Amino acid sequence: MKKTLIVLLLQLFLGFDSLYLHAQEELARSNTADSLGLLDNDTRHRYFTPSVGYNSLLYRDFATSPLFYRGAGLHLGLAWLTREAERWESTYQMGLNTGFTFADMPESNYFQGFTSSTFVNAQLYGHYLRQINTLSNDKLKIKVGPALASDLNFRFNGGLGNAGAGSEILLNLMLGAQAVYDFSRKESKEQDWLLFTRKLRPIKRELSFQLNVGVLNFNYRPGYAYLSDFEFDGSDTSPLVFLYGGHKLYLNGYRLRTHVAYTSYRQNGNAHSWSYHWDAAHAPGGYEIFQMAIHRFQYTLMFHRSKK
Amino acid sequence: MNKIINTIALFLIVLVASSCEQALFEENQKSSEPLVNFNYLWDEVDRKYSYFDLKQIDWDEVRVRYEAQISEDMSEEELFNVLANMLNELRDDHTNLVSPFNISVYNVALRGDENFRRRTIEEFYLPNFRITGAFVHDFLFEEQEIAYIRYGSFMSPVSSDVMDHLLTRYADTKGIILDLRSNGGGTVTNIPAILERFVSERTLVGSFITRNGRGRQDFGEPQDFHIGSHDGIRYEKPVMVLIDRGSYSATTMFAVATKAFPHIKLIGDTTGGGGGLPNGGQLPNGWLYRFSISQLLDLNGDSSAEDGVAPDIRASFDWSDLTKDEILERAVEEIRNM
Repeated sequence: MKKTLIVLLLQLFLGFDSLYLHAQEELARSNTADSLGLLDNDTRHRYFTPSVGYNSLLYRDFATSPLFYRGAGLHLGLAWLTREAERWESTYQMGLNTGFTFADMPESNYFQGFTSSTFVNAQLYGHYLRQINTLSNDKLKIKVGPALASDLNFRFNGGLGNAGAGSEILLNLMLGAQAVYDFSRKESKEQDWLLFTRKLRPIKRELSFQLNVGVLNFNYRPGYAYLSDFEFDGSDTSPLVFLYGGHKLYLNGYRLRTHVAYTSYRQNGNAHSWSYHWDAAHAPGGYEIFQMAIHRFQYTLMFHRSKK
Repeated sequence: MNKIINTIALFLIVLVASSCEQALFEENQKSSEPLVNFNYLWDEVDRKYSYFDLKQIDWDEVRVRYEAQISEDMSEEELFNVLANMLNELRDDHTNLVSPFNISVYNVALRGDENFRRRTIEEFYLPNFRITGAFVHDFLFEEQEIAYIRYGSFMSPVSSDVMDHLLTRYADTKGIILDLRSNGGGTVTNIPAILERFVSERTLVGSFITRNGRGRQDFGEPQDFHIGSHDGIRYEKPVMVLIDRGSYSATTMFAVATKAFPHIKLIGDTTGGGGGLPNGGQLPNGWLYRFSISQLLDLNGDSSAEDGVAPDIRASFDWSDLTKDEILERAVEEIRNM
């Protein structure tokens, strides 16, 4: 299983790499980056954007422990992005974040124990951002608009016995603001390194920063006793009630997300980006607080699907 | 120059974002301070434990008594002993304190007589016993009119195929003896997996109430506990369920449920109890704990199953003669007289 996973990951990265090399060849045939319309801001571009990433995780559920659980894991994501550069962009994303965490407990000078937990987060996200022309120029585009994030968390911590399986659903309607700084190289350029010279070809590239702030923050959290409070109907009892039997929907807490990305485009229309993503949620529920933060270093491929 | 500014800006954004939650979240509450951990545990029990009233526990008085034993320079082992003793005031085997070096246990089984000796069963009653899944079983005598089935732990999974096999094999018997002595409990879903094979229609057998507020008598609405009837192979002739003080938790719930069915009788000693569902939690020093947060109510709304379910027919094992199991013999007699 491990071997298969490693091979798959290698294939994924090698696939990315070959695409990159292919793009370089395309680039070499062109003298200007806008010869294929990549710098054309009036057209609508659609992208399919798979991503992989490394997660640094942090969570705490006061209902079962006052301790933070910290760890690391993987991110896999799929997204669809539509962008009409001078006007708006929309995206739909689905992501899976997994990780293995350990309780951050005080050091013992007698007998050091540890507790661990697996963490799985399935996320759906979408936004529609419109460009604010009065704040934008050729180099800097500012966009704002609504965003919606929905998270389903599963945690399993065997040490917590009947409370070992934890789950919550977060639903956040957010306001998103995005700044995209275009620092494309539009003409070829030669660099003189004393011993050799290097020719830098035109390239479209941009740096973006996005901040999302939760406006309506819903969370589906356990009831007072944490364990489910449900009707036990023999073997007909739905397995879901063991997990969600006592859960209720609450409107409280906050959600913040930031996303910093460096994106470079290729002459064939594809692109790839390196990004840093931070996502923090605070969900008090009805009785005890749940908090989580995900830090992610992410690599994203952007397959150019169509242009109108 | 612009590139340098861009790079610095990006670096600052990443730095600010990466440490943001430290400012947003409440401070780290890890602590090895004895008093901090004592207060945390006492308060958790106070807010969520479900049997203060039934057991007449003055939890405030307990706090005063045990807080006096807490000192700043006490060792971890000394702290463990104080916290464990405090939890044992709950007289509840669903209560444990788990540290890396010890686990506290109340051990309710030691507070009654031992009434089960496996070797007596295997040597003198089932010399050629079979093991199918989680069950040890066979016909009891040459007449093959009574079957003996032992289920040693509700932790062991119960599959439909295994139940089909058992009930097909013993379909022509006059009755079945189901031995749940020294069965310390386990997964509640195994209760209907077995009991629904002995029941002809869906039946209300009790209810659960769960703490839902700070007040020690704050409970939510009773949630019904039903036992259904299996669609496939069933056995509706007399069933004698053997119980003792070692029959705890899920076994006690099973025993409460049998009270709704006249053809199922409990024989032996009162069960150990354990009607509450235990939660799980962690202290600021990382130790783990659990205690009951709900109550099982019988059909009369009585929560006394926490202290044990009385048998319909009382019998006890006579340790002066290890060739005989008097509880089993009493069950055989009951079936033969039906």
